[in-house]
Amino acid sequence: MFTVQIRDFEHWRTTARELLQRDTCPSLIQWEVEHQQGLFGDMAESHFAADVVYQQVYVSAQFLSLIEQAACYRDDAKWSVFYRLAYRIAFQEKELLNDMTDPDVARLYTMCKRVSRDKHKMKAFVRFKKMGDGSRHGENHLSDDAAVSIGNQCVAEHLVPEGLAPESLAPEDLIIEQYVAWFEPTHLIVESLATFFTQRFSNMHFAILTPDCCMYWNTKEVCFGEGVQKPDKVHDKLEELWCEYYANIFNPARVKLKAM
Amino acid sequence: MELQQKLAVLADAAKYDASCASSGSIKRNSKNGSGIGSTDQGMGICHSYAPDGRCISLLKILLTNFCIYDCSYCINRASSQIERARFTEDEVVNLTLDFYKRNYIEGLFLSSGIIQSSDYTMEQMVNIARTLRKKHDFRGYIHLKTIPDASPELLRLAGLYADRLSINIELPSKKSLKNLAPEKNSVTINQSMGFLKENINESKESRKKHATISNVNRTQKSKFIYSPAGQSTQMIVGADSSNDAKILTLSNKLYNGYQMRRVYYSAFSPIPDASLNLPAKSPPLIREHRLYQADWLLRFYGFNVNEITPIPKRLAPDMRHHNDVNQNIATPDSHSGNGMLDLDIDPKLSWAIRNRDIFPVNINTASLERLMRVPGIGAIGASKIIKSRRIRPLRVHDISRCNLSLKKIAPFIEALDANPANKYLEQANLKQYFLNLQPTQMALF
Ligand code: SF4
Repeated sequence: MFTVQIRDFEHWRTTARELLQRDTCPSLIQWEVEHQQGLFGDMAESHFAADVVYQQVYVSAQFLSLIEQAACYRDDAKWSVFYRLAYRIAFQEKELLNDMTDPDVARLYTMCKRVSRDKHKMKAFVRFKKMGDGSRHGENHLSDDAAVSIGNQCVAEHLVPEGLAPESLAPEDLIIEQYVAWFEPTHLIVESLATFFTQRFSNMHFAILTPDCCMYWNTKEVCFGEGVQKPDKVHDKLEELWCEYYANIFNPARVKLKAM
Repeated sequence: MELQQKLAVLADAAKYDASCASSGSIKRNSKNGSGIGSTDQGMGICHSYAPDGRCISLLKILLTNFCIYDCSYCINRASSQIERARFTEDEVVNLTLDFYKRNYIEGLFLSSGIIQSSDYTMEQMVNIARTLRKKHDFRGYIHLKTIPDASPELLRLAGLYADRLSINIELPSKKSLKNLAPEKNSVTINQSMGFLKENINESKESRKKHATISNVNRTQKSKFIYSPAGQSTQMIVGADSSNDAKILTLSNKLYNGYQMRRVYYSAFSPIPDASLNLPAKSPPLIREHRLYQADWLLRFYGFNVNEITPIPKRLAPDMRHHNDVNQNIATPDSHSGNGMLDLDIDPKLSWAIRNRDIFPVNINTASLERLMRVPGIGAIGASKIIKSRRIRPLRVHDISRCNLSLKKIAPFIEALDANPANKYLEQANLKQYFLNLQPTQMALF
């Protein structure tokens, strides 16, 4: 038994390929997520020195896309499930993924399903609030401290176009609309949704803050930062309009439908 | 009137529209644009749920609830005593953008009462869509409900900006339309549907052509994009005496004749200050639900109307020619052959019970189509069964491994091993067996 440390999915993938090329049995490997750089175990090193048995190892594209999705799953036990599946598919049971009754396969599908549900939820339920809305008379102008601190963080670090130094910006000089959202995803999905959010809100400066990872978009570049703690509530007066809409669009004559 | 108050009135007036779908358009995003918005080819996103579990994915409002028509089932009719309001074009545009930027919605669903004339109203709706698209480069979803009798020129423009257009068929028969919506004209409604269909098809052709030539030699001519999510319509159920067979026959016609993407059924809601022409009570909401299930069977499961709502032979010709059969439909029951769906159980199960002689179906050999006719097995379930049986022959309990409800399915299938549940097929009260399952058995198919 030896320990292999990995950083992320890409790293897992290259490592797993090397191990498969050396025909390394899944039961020998313990996968761990590396939190600091450069803690590569000696045992693992020695194993990578072993001879390559197979130059090419084949798994299906479908399998790769499934594990890429499942890699967002929060439980680190996923890495050994992936490797075991890869090993069995490459060397033993090519058609394994069709066997819904296999426990590893079932686990993979469950992970994918949960991740996909979580992603869907995040797309649906992230709520942006408008920060310093640029008008000098705006009612929602970074008034409370929390807003200022999140606002400044986003502004200073990421949301302001290059060339504008943060200190030169008083809130009333911000002519750009900025939007901030706070969300707590169940799984590690923030980065995988960058394309969705940046392509949907392409011309909007926004930040999505979560406990694991934050996403910042300045209409040109996306960047990711460390997770943050839940900020205090920011008030956006549009919320009142939305609540008005929500209260009126529902037809109470239909509520019995649920009872069926 | 304050914007907030207008929103309250004009959202309230829009709540009788069943549709809130934002699906089925072309894939689009704002990456190379100057605005915001994206759509997916598949499902739209549900950003909130109403207390009844319905999805809220669009800003669904009326431009105004003033109306010069007097359709008796409609809360906005001219003679109705209600608070009236009217948005300006800019108000609708800004609300849409502001809500979209907060990720509350997928886009806008705009309809309207008729002010001054059909064309005057339709023109304002088109302007709103055009402003969103052209001035703000909005790339989210737009559904416009077209105004009856709007001119072809305006319908043509509307489709250039909208993802989906709709025209309500309103009632299941011409006669009912005449009675309840005297200013509306079923001929012009059908003409508009036909007009939309032609444009939608032309657009499809153009996009197809574009896709095939673009790799070789991109011509100057741009694609013609017209209402890419097609057209839909809505029918009110329970405001007249039409039975389910009639409703489904009409739906079938709309699907085949006009290539409707969806027919929405809206159980008639009694409205305050109602006209005397109307029933005082709404039909059971479960009826609407069963119609949706039946509609699904028509579109995706290869059923035809006669299988779903069988009519005794001697009654059939009569029903075909006659539009409004004034029979007593107070206690609908599929077994009496009055063309109504069984309210107690879903239409596929009801069909299977009537046709139990073709069961059990062998899950190891049956075709996909055949499997999909088994109550409790849907399209996904059927394909899981087919995938799994390639690996090894299935036993009865493997059904639950495919995430399907064994209890509902068991009487109708056979597998590698013996299946004691088949004995229920012999029992006269097969329906009762399923009624007993129901508290825990909520799956639709
Ligand atoms: S035209 Fe439309 S809004 Fe006007 S009364 Fe008829 S259904 Fe209602």
